[in-house]
Amino acid sequence: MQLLLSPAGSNIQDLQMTHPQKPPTAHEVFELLARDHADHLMVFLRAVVYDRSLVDDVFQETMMVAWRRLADFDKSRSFGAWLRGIGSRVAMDMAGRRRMAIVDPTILAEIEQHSACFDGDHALSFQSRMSAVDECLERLPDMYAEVIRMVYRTDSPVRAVATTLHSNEESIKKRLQRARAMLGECLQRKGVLA
Amino acid sequence: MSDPEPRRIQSNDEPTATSGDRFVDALLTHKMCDSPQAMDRRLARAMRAVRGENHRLTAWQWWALPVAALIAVTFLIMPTTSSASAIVRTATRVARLAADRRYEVVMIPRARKPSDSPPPITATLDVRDADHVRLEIRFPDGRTEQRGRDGDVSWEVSRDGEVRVTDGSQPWPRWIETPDGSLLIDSMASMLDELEHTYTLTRVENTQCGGQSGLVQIDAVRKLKSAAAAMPPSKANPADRIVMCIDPTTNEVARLEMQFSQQGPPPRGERGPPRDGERGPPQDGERGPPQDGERGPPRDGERGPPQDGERGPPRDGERGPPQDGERGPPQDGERGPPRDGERRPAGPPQSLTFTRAALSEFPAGWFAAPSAN
Repeated sequence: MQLLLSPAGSNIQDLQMTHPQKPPTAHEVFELLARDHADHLMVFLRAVVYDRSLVDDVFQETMMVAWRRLADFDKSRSFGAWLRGIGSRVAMDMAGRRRMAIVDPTILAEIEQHSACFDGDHALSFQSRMSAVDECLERLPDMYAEVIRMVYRTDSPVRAVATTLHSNEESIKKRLQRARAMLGECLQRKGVLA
Repeated sequence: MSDPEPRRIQSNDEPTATSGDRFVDALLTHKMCDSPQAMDRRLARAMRAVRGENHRLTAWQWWALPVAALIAVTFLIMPTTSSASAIVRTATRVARLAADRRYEVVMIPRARKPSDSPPPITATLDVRDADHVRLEIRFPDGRTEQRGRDGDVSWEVSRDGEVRVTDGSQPWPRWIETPDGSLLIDSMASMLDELEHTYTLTRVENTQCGGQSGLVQIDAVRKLKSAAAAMPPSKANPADRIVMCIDPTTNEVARLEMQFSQQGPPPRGERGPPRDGERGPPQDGERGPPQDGERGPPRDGERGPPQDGERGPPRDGERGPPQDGERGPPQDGERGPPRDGERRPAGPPQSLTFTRAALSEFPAGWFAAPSAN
């Protein structure tokens, strides 16, 4: 099966430059597209699936379903959005079969809105868009930046962070939630969050 | 298989979290906890699974035994830890380590009749990592079969001596695929995750294990059928019991034996006996009415079986009929139904035993395809 796709934001031209005499196979095209959108898909699935240990399973199944359905992809639309749509259905399906907890449909739709906003016009790579997160993190007041850093970067449980900061768990959770809310507001101002 | 999540955001597990909170949490997790290398491995696994998509196993087949074999391999390279469950979790991490390992394998085939005593099939399994694997199988009739992978090249030497080499874009031979089509050695973590749920793991110390003293024995026994039934069959390890003998001084598993139910799935095209608690065919050729609580024929207006022998369309994530360009009959280099005159053992074996052999490292070119002449 030979297939040529040129969705926005993909690196198909890289492939064609590498093998100018030979059109890419469907699998090569799919792999490039998947690579372009894998990071964003993981963010999306992490937001949707409660049990983090199952996110990788959903990711892999999403890729397999997307490969099987590649012929159905509308080239005029965003490949990332299409992939996330499949990811949503796979997550819902696995939630039914494996009692995996996922967000409710309303939250799911909102997360997709955030994702679409984060996608923007595909002119920038995912990593470039993530720079907005860096900028917002730098603007956080110290007490919030500190708790974010301790909980996320140093892999410390909230309880341990509370002990270190001579606080209690509930206070740290609230501070963490407030920190994320401030980040969210900053990202909204930058136009990368709905 | 899956990478273990680097951390768990305990603060955002509440179902009351807003969509924005969850999305920002996911962004932070991705940014701070997930490395590009982990993402590359995740994507590589997914792409291997995609490549193997057209070559899923349709039933438990004897030549899928190496699936079980490589599950065992992960046990064979893991260190001893304080509890049986911890051992399995450790194996999940250690499964990705690259190291030269050799195992002598003995498979006792399933007897076709209770009075049969089939001769064993032996093999040597050499593993460096997911891309460097070599297996030599020795059959009772004296013939051998070799299969391997050396980086981007997969190869096999048939029992007739024919060398077949394919490029890396070819799907893995079935013997190294998981039942869901992905490359087994990379899917280990998720399979081991499942193992802990479907097996009861116990540690037995100060016992003779595999005829040797001073070894720690770990027994993994399949849980009750109700629990096992919750497992997707494609991911279920087919062994009913796994016995591991670990040398506490070297932290290596010296021996591992997998024991299989003799009521397992039959070879393709045959019907096997029902398992305990399952319905079997009526005895003496009689067909009785359904008992209380059992399903009878549909009443008027109720949904019955599909008409005209058709099946409904598959849902997302399920297998459907092959479409254009998708799975069809086996092509060159793939495995298909038995060739003329070839007999395959009947279903899963009685047991499969691995013993780690002493080895420093494989010589250069060990995993390369043999020359054709």
